Amino acid sequence: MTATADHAKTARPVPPTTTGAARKGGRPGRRKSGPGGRALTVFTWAVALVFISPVLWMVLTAFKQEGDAYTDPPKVLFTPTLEQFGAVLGGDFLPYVGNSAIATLFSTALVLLLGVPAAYALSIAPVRRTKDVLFFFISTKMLPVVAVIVPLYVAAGRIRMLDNIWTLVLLYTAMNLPIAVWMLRSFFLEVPTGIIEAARLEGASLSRVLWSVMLPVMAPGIAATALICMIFSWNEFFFALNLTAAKAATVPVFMTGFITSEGLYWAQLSAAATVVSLPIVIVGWVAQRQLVRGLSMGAVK
Amino acid sequence: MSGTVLTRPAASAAGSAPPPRRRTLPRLRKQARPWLLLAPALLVIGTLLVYPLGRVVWLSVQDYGLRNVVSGESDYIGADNYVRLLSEPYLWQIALPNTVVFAAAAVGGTVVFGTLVALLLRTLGPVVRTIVISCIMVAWAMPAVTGTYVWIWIFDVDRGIVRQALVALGLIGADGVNWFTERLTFYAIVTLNIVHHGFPFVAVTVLAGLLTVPRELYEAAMLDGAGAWQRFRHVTLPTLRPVFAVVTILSTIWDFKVFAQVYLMPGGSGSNMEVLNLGVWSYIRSFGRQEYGLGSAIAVMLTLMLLAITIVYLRALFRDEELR
Repeated sequence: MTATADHAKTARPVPPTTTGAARKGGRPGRRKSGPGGRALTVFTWAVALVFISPVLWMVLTAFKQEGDAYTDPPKVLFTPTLEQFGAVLGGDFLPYVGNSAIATLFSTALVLLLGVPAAYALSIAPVRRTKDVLFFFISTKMLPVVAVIVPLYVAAGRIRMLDNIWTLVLLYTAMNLPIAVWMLRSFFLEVPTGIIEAARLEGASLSRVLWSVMLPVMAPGIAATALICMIFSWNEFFFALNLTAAKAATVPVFMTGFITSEGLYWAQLSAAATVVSLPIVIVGWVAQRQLVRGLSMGAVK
Repeated sequence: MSGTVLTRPAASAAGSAPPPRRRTLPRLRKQARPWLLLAPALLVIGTLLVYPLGRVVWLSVQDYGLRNVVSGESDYIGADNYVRLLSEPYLWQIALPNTVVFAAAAVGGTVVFGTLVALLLRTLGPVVRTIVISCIMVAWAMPAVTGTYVWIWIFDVDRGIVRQALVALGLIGADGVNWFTERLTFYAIVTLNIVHHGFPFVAVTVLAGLLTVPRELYEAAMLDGAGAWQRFRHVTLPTLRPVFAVVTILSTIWDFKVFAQVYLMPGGSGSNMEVLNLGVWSYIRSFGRQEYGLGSAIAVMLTLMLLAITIVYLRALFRDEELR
């Protein structure tokens, strides 16, 4: 967005005619909404419900016996059981979770390590060709993963890095870096330049400016970026499918193994899907505010 | 908020000496420093994304099969793979329409639905809004793999809830319908899956944009007697043009590259050639049939298409405003 829009959001003086409450939400048609507004609210709830329902259906099925999962009409009331979760967790599920956790956490840390200085170089201390570099970063997002998989597979095989979790860590880092740099840059642009100039005037070194001045201000933005990288890494399927086997496979791969080997045991599959989704949904849910901000900032700016 | 952070260092800086003069640091070093900060990131992306892409372009002009993987030798055949690819009816009748028509439908669906939800969210109070955003964010954060399985199950031929509902309503016969064998129904399910997965991003982004539109603009429009659609058309749309452009670009990029949502569906991994898109087709040509040269040519074509689309979008987006 442009600077004027930002300005309008943060520093616009309250017009004398409006109340504080109306301004807070920034909703234009609120006042005249009587029954229409209520209908709209009901409709919104319906939308939210429809879109949460596949997820709900999955979770519900996960607590069923296999027999209860197939009834026609579908059973909504049933005796819940933890049997399916037991079966999933009792199997060889945990190594996959470990692999996913390694791939997610280390790649996210690497993304921040490489992305924060890069974003700084593109915002606060811009290089001459900032625009070109930004386009380069975003252009790599266009790259279909199917286009790079053959050479990556061959190269990983040659250096004996196939079925190695660190291969995924590196790839996820490269995969998430472009979007992370864009997001971080938009957060850097929000930092008032006054602070940086002041710190510079005091003779603070670059690393010090980054570490003690920028970082505290940037923390929410960095958190948002990290969360988005974590979600993308945890959910990544294609690289994991092709570059790992028994040793380094992650949870999305575990899911596919499940459907082929176990056939159509939907209740158990649902339990597995629930367990796989749970950590990332919790992460996303707890930090929703940052996430929403990060998602929109990355795109809006 | 910005005011408080601003004062702290600035106040202490006011009393200190004027900026220390860098004595011997040439300008060159000052210019090089940002590049040093950028270098590691560029290096990682260069090694892991750009170099393989270069290799794929190289592969696409080779006759490269399993034999060549073993021997390490390759035969340069120029544009032969591309000629073969472009003269293959499968590309024009199946793979390309599957990719492009689906992407158009999915992008349209995602952006329109996401925008509607954003408009609804704007009218809600803060508490209800937070609850609804939580619900839709769950859909966004769910892994594509699990999401796809859930949709497969919902449309399961024998025991899917959709079939049960339609049979109960008498809309389809008791035998049910196999949604996954027909191209149209297959991609209808994929579209549903993608819209479900992608609209939360559009909704929160557009909402963030909507909240920056000065209310005065709407009030003025209302005074002029503009209806809801006119307000959207003449106030929201022009103001949020960059936001819409960005969500459309990103959705397009994602939807052209869809892989898991097709590959994991019944028949999507190659047993039903009717339903493949360019990405999956390239993958199956390369890995399934060991025709690495041709598979690479497909991949290069897909990349070029995405590049072209993105350039057109970016042109439109930055037509009259500088990149911040």
